[in-house]
Amino acid sequence: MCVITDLFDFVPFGDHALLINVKDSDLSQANARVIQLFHFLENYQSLSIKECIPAYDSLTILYEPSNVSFEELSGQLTKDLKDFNQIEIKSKQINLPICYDKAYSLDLEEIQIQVGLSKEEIIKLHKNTNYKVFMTGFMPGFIYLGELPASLQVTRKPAPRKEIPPGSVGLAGKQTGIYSIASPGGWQIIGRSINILDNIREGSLEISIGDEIRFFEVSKNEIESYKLDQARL
Amino acid sequence: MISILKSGISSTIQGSYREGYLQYGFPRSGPADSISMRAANFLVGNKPWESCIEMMAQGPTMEFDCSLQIAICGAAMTPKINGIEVSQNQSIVVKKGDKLSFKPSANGLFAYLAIGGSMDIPEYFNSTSTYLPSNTGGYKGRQLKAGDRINMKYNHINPQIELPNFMKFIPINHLKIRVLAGPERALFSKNDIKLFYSNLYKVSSESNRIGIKTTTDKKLQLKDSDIISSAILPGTIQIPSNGLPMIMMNDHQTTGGYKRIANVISHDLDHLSQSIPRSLISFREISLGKASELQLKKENLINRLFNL
Repeated sequence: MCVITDLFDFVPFGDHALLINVKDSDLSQANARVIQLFHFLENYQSLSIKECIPAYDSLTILYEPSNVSFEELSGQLTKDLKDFNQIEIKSKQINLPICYDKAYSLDLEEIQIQVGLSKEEIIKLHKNTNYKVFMTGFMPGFIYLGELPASLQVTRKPAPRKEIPPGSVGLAGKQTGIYSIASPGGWQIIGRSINILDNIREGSLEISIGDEIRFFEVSKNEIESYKLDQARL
Repeated sequence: MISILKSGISSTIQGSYREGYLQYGFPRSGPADSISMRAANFLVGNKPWESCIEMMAQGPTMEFDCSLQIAICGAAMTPKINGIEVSQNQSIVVKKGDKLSFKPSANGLFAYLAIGGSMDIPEYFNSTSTYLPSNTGGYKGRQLKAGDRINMKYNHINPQIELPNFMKFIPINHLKIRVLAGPERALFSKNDIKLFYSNLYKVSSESNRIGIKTTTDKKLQLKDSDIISSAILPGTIQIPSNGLPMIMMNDHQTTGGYKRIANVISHDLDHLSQSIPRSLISFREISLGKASELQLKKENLINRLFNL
């Protein structure tokens, strides 16, 4: 029952979802297509589509089964995605504050040992890199950013920290990520940004996959009471 | 106002599903057994998705500070008012100072307490439903405990009405759950698929609102369980490397990296959520067309009840 095209497989998933698997053996290429697909769907006029779950190389659409069937929706999408490569991506550029004060950079010493750079060099590399939002979610408000420069890539902590405070920015492999809720986690914590979820809820931030993120450094006092509207360009 | 005198096992506020935030990692949450919650709301003249107290395994003890109309539906929890047993599946008027208590559930896992009117619970991302893994939504993002007080925004006492039979929870010890083939079904061996559909699984005591874990001696023999993380839905059956099916429920993580062998049809989820440790589950595959038809029929029946 799957619908197969050159770029995608449309797979029925439960009784009200359609899974789109992106066909590309290169994972970052596949992720770029997911981002393109997500932006296409954001502007897609359809009463039948309720919401989407983008993942690394797939995207799942939840549809309203009383309006449309899997066959109808995959048929429509196959037709409308014909000129997929021409779809323009309108990603946003978002500047986020970060504080590398030792009160927040909980694992800076461990990162130093792993990468063999000074604290100043690590901070400079981290804040001067432009990142892309690869994925959001898994747990509420988690933001996956990539890619880290090769010289900043570290392995996760041998045992996860019991509770990582919201707003913490961590490193793991090629990715840097922002925690939104207090939770256990194994990422190496390098600093503190803002609570993404609170800002989304208050309407001061919209963030989705494909957006470009730049960090700018602020002091310990500033980060604690940071109001995001100052940070947007 | 309702004052909690003694906590139950895990009682949370649940209301409408939290829709529109899956991309940020919020599952829908809401009532595990949406039929029983809507039944309780129906009996007290509320809208179907009005916030209720969802009580898992045993409800809390509480006291009312004014006359209110209440109804309890779902798992049998032997409700008592001032120590005298009252019936579920019908509305009751309680008076100021009345105390409501429960016994551990004899059958089923979740019961719902609806109160005529509307409890004063703030919305978090468009829903009052509690999501315990992130301590958000509902009453301060957590389970109700002694000392908590819930105010009513408004309340009413309506004429008593009868609950149609199809809205009443009937416990079944062996659940024959209908599923659709999952996205990774083709990656399982023929033997694993055969075993999955013929085996009788036991519900594990580690089950909760996030998911139902199962146990069996006959484990699936998959060689490699991981996929690149992809979406999970309520009812998604994942097979981790231990070979034991895990059924994701309303508080599921929004993505996961285990193979998805099958997906429980929406129609059967309410009933499945009521399974208790040692309940038996078997799976049977049906067509997507049939699954949609069953769900639409059920929802239409309930909507008609509420004149929607």
